[in-house]
Amino acid sequence: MQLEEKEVLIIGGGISGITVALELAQSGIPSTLIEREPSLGGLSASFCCKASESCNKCFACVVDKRISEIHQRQDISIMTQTEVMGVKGNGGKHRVSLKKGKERIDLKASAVVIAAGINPFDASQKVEYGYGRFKNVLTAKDLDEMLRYHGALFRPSDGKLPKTITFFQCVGSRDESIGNLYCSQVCCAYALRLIKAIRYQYPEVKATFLYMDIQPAGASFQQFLTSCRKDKGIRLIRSLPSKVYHSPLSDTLRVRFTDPERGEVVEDSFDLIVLSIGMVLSKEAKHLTELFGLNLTEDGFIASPPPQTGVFVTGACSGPKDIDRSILHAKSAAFLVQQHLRGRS
Amino acid sequence: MPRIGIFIDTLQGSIPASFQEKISDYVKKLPEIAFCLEEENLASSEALSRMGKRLEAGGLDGIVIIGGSPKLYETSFQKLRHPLPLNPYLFAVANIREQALWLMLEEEAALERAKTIISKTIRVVSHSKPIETQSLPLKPDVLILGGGITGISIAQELAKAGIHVFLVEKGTHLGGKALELHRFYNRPLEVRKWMDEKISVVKNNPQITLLTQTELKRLEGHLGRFQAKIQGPDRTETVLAVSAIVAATGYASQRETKGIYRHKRVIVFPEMEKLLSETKGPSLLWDGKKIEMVTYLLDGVNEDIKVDSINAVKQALILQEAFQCQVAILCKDVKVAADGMERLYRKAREKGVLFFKYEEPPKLSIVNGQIQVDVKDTAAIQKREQWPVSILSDFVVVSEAFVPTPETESLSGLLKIHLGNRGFLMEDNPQLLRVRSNRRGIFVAGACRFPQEVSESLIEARAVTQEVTALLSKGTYTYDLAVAEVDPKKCAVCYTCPRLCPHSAITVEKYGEKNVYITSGTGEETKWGAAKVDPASCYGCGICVAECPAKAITLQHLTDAQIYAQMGMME
Repeated sequence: MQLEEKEVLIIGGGISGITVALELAQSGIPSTLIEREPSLGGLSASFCCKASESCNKCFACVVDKRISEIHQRQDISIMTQTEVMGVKGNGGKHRVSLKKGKERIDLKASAVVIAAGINPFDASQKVEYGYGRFKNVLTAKDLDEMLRYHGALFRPSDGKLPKTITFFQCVGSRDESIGNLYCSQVCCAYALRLIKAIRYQYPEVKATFLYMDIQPAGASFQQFLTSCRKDKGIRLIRSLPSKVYHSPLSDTLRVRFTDPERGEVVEDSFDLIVLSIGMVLSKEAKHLTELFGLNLTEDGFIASPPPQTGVFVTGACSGPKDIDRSILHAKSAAFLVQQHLRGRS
Repeated sequence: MPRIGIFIDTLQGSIPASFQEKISDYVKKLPEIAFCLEEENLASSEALSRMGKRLEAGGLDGIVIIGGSPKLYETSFQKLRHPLPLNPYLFAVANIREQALWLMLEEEAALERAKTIISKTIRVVSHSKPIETQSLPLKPDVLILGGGITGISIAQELAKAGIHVFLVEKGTHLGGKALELHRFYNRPLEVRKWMDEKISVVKNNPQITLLTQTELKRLEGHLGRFQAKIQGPDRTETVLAVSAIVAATGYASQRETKGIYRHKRVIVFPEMEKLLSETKGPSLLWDGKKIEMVTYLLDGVNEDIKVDSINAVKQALILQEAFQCQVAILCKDVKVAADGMERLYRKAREKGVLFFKYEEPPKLSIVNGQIQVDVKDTAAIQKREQWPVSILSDFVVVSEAFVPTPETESLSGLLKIHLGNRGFLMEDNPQLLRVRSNRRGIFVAGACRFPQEVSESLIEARAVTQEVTALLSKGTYTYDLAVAEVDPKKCAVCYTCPRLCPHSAITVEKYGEKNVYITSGTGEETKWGAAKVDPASCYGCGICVAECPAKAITLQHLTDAQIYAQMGMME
């Protein structure tokens, strides 16, 4: 049991937590960054570069850069495989007990930043899409990791390059049937960037994008979307599929959806199905809100408490965000933390 | 002959002992070697302290580490005592593990490759020079261009952090486009009241010098030493000395005025917002008659901007609930990618707001003094349901195009920062992040970069404040001199480098008496300036070095001599 006195405790070592720690360090404020997993980076660290002819502004490289930056700093103490066990005190005097393996550590903090991130929606809840039952139904995260760690696109069933690939949007978002009444905000741009990157690397792969509404994402999105619309190998269809069937004689999958062009229900077969899964708050993050006595928003993310409590919430755990917005919000949170420490909040 | 110290790191056995011995034998025979030490794990604290002691003993011109990827050592070297006993630019890593041992199948070939790598690395270090750091004093003075919601918020937050702000607004009053809003979509506040409070705080803060009817006329200098010439209301000119600049000049809106868009029943969002704020009664009256049907036509312009969708849904709910109007919203995509928007959209649908998604632009026509909108709904499932729907409306609310303000282009020239697509100010390089511009010390925030919701602009404002305070809080900016440097004697003032520099770090300056150029044959002396790189603004990218026709520019940490040495072309 050791007792340490630190100014700021940051919970969560994803891009948001890392940015807060780096920004505070820039202003000369040391912090402790704790992460449940053995390494930093969180969800965004497993994303691949989604450039085609040019950069598509997916921000994946920025995450890698920030991770190496934070490891080079002396004034940020990083504790991986560490979890919060309990919290005492409030209003700028928090006593947080942490667990790292078998070791218990008590820490005093004047400010606590919660950047616990999100979990991808569990796609197997949407039974009709067959995730977990069909080998060739992946989530967008699975595909991203395949591209990043294997450096190649293949069909899990036979290792061959899929000729046709389709993306289902809004899996776990904007869906009353599972109670997620929010838009995950990032998946449209995310899926389209993945399609672009795949089409660049494998021009023979034809992609289909099944969506409700295309959600814009920032300053250069319109140009990007126009280039997607111009690409003859990408079909953008406003329709959400109702069911996925396994084709008994081959490894292809049949998808039933309404074709707005033809105005009727059609079935089409694809080699690979990718589910654009939404964001949900993780169990662990929910547990944190209980420990710190925080509320959830209507959409089930963590609501920001007033700044005088000394607890700050940032990143996707406060509502869906992409890397770009997470970094921006983290900077904004770092500023609020500083104001709090200076007693000006 | 330079004296080079060698550390061989076997990386806990991942370089086999037999291989390491052969490397040691080879290294020890090289003439430049002062010593060659073997370590099992150079990243360990014991090995680092041994290394530190050896360095303190002195007498060295450089260090070569033979081992794995340089990335492995970056972190552990931070643990060495600071300041380092040896300049960090005199270290080099020969990565024989990844680049030789793991690459070649035959040990013999791997050994040959490793030797080449080692000898090249030693040659580079022998040609390296120590590079010092410098610091630049930074006064806590910041210039903010634009008195809209973003500019006001930044000024307020910076003032709280003890930084003095010059807030320059070209118009007569503060507030900008946010004053056109009546209510927020996600907060039960009246925008006007909230803004008035903010404005009065800014006006009464002694840390904020407010300059209305003032414009930036000229900008010189770099980070920490900007000289901004501004022109006030009575054409008086003042020069402000500031350390950093924030551009928050907002956007302009452009209204379609052709054909039916001139009709008085076709209005834009701010007009509807005003009407809603001014009407108190149970019904919305216009020209003495009750308004019953309002149609919103979205995505004609601004297809990628969420603000109109948000405002349409927000206004539709007010119209429906407070004034019993029937509302239809026509759009290409319903943009709900904002916190709470999906719920607001569902609520609107439950309350009876009609949504149509179109692909072909809807047609507007005048029928009995009202506007008829014909739209083909693509969301209808059955083909035969997709006949055009005609909506007879009292009002049609259309989007205005969000465009850069007329001054944006000249401002980008004055500030020497880039314009992005559609002529807004640019941040768009992911490496520079959203609020930084291509120049160190100049930041871009709010709608002059990209029009967005007020809540997002406020977050951007705080992010800028964080960047600026982090920059100015230490009172100095410390930087390595690992940057480009111009030899004024060789510079022909061809203006190639100032044009090419992506960070606008190069200007042409007088170098005093040094630049005396004698035109051949005439014997006449001509004094001329030379290009000068501001080391605090240079990112060390090397573009100017490669392009300079006179080869007058060198990159301090990667000189031609080092490159030639590495290529083995020096001897």
